[in-house]
Amino acid sequence: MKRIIAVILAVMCAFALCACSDNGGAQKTETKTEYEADYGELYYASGDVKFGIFDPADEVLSALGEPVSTFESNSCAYQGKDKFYYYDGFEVLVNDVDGTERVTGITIADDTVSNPQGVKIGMKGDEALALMDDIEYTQSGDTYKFTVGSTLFRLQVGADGTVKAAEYSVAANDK
Amino acid sequence: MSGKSNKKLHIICLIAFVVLLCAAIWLLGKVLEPKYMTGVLEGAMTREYYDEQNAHDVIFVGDCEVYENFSPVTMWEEKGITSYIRGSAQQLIWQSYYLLEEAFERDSPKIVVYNVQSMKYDTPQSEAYNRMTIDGMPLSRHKLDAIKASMTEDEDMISYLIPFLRYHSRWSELTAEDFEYAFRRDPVTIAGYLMRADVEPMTKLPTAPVLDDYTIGDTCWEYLDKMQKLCDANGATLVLIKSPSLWPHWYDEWDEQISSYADKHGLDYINLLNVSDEIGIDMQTDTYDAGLHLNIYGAEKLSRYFADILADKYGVPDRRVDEAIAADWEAKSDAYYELLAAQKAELKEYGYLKSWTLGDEK
Amino acid sequence: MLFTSYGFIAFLAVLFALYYVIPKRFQWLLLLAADIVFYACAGWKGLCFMAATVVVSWAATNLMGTSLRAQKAFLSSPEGKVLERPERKAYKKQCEKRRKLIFVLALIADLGILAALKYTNFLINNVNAIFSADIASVDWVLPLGISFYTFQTVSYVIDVYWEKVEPERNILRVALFTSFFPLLIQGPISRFGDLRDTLFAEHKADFKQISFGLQRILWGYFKKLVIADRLLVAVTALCGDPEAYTGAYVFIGAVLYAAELYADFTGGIDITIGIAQVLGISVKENFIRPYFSRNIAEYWRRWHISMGTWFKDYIFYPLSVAPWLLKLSKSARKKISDGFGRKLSVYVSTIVTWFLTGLWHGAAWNFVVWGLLNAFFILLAEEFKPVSQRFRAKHEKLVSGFGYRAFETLRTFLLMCSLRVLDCYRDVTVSFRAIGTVFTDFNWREAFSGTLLQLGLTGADYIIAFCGVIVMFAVSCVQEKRGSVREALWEKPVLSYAVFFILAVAVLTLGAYGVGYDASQFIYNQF
Repeated sequence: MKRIIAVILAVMCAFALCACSDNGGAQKTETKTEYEADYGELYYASGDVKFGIFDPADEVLSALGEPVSTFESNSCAYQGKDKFYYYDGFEVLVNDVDGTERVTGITIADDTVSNPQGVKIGMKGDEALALMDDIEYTQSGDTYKFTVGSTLFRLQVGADGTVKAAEYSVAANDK
Repeated sequence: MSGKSNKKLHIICLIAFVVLLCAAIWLLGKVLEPKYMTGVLEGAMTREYYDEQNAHDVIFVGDCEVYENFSPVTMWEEKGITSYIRGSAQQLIWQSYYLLEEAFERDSPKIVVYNVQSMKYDTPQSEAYNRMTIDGMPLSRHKLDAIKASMTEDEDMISYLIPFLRYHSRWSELTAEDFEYAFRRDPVTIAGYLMRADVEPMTKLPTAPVLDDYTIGDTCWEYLDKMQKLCDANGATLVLIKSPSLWPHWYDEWDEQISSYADKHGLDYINLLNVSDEIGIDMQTDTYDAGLHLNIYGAEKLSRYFADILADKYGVPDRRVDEAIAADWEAKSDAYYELLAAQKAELKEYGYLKSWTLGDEK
Repeated sequence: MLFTSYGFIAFLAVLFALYYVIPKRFQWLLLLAADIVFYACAGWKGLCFMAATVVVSWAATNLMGTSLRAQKAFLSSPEGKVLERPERKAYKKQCEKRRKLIFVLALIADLGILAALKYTNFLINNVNAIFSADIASVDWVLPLGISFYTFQTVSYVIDVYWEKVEPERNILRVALFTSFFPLLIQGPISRFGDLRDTLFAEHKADFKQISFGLQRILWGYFKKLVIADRLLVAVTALCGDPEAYTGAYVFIGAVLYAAELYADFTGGIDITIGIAQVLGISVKENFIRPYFSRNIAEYWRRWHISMGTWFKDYIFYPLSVAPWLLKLSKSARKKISDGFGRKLSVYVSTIVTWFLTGLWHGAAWNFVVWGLLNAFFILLAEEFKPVSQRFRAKHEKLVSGFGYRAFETLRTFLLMCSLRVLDCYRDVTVSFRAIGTVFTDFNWREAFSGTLLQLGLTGADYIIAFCGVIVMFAVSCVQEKRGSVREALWEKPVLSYAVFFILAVAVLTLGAYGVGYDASQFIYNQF
């Protein structure tokens, strides 16, 4: 009799209880979120310098060299500081992300540059979408959104069917 | 000791325990709550309003685009207008509404000026900003409503009511300031205006980011409706403005929505961005952070311009004839120029405002 | 509702007040209502699963009870008395068979819910990994405390089957036993026989008892919020980067984890038992100062006692007297050696029990290895018992001295710390490598050159945690030598309230709670 009980319990325990959790202990209660670059194909390149969202800012900025100019936007009071670095044809936005300065935005500012896929301001929207064909996107109104990991690439097409804006930013609700 | 007297002693001790614990929580709360007397002054602004002696004909509500860009002293000097700015950092529309609701209980403004910049936020944003706006309010229905409307996901009502529960972990960062200002505060504004006398010319503004949706949120409209009703019920006129700050970007799509709302509801909407040149604002000299906020020179220009509108268009009376009020504003004016002189002296000595900012040298 | 949330404190305050205001005969019903509220806060779906468990165990135990009563009634009736002995035996066997069927079905149902809800994804992941399949994971709600209440219910069903307790006829009482909220979070896993008389009884408000309960709750919060949640930050950082933190850091991490885990777990149990005490309900202790143990077997008699006894009573004992094992043991005695055969059943039972205990802690190899290592050391100690006894007899004076006792205590503590490394790193290879570095790369000086201050804790935090541990240690010493601290303080009310005033202020000021702190849940919630 007791044998049956023991066997049933042993078997059931083995199946049931082992699944009780594999999430106990110290690591699971980890409180810090790791921010890591996971942009895949959604990066920007200027010359030999390839970079994307959540890359450490100091590495990116030193590789890009001296910016044409900069702009620091203090929000009211003290919370956060947006730092914009202007380069020829594009802008890089840097923020403090959990104690480390990281790239949080890249904006293509004019038609003198294109992204690695070849998307340019002023080109036909259809052409731009075709160039980005490997990456899935969603459309809301005139805006096309491509998401890979924590990176969102937005493409805004104007009424005349040409690309008006192209920018990389942190995907919403991410981390 | 007999059992009975022991029990009696227990009860006495228990009562003492409860009383002392409450006292400790209150006292520790006073010491531990942030004072905002140096560096980040914005957190001390809300509570200053309650020290005002006289009524105001104009109340401004909004975020930094009002408390940095309008100078009530200038409007007083210009047209004898009595005004107060109930603004604080990233003050959201519902916070403006409840502060206004509260203001109508102790004040009798004829004109309420609301700066529409904060209508871009439809949901609670940041606990830190909520605290800076709300902590200074005395306990009232308005405060409770403001808390309820403002709380972010992780926040709770009780820690607004018992600040100690929120700030207990500040024990490790207490400074002399926390003890010095445990029971009192120095004023940081003049009639709600936070002065900055430094200059940082505007260079180039970033490209305005693309937004997913340019529609102003329902909550904002709901509070704007309520604000208008509140003003109507109190015999005041609501005027909507957009301050002439160039960044964060004010989108045309937003402007159109506000304009059509104003048309529909019979409100005036004055987009001061469109009249910057007329006002005479020069972003090479009139801003202290490259186009975001105006410094005192810009604020004075804007205030003179706006004082004319208030007096001419809305008939806000000149109160300089009233001695008591005039004396009050004289004192404010003195404080204003004293502060300006002090800031100028610091700028001369250090090249930046050491005492009024977090100290980041320009 | 977390134990450390404001909502929970408010919930308790309302419950405590109502509990002593309403007529006493309704007290247990109020508790049931409170359980439902508490449970519903975690999601109504969980309530359905718990209700299913309650209905199954209530029905099964009552069917078994009815069967047993009918059996007894029949056998003592004139009709039964006339039966011959073999007929009586056959009748009894038939009844037992019926009960066994009910029992087995009930176990399958109770444990099946647990297995299905918690195991499905684990199973899918493994199937996917082994057969390179692509079965989608399921997104099922995990009812709060399911492992704890299932274990409790299973023990009740077994106890009824073993005729150790009478089945409870009132389903609401079974529901209360299953769902009693303080026990849901992290135990103790209580038995029906222990709780029955106290849980459903009428309780008069007793000033001393309520005070003691509240004091214990406060003490629990002190351990949890001031010590455990503070140390958690450093432990997480150290365990999170095994490549960087080697050698002395592993040692420091293991010791900090020992303090953190103890403070977290016993703190939670203090809150649990304290709540029960305020309600007049006595719950068995789950810890008896385990770090004072002088050997591993003693340690496991003092740490998470309710889990240990559960496995002992429902796995180890039944297994060790199982006929097949006895038979195996007998044949081993004949075929291999007498000594080996005699030990075989204990060995097998110990290993199986610890294998399952390991699995209980998590579906991962590190937990299995951890469990088996425990078994290994327990059996090793058993194997060396004669040597140890000879040594003790020979050096009676030495072993009875403080120094030797301290050595044994420290040895056991360090052994348990080393085993727990498997829990910290969650990976067998990483854990063994980390322990290895303690011997090969003991960078003691480097560890104290300021790195510890980069783990998220300030010097002040370490000092507070250290003082907290000292207080905990001092209290344990007093308890070990003189018994209840609260009892001793009760005679000196002024001192007592002064002590608890300081404790309350310390918890409120230094505790890790509110905005700005992540609500670090009790570690044992997950099991």
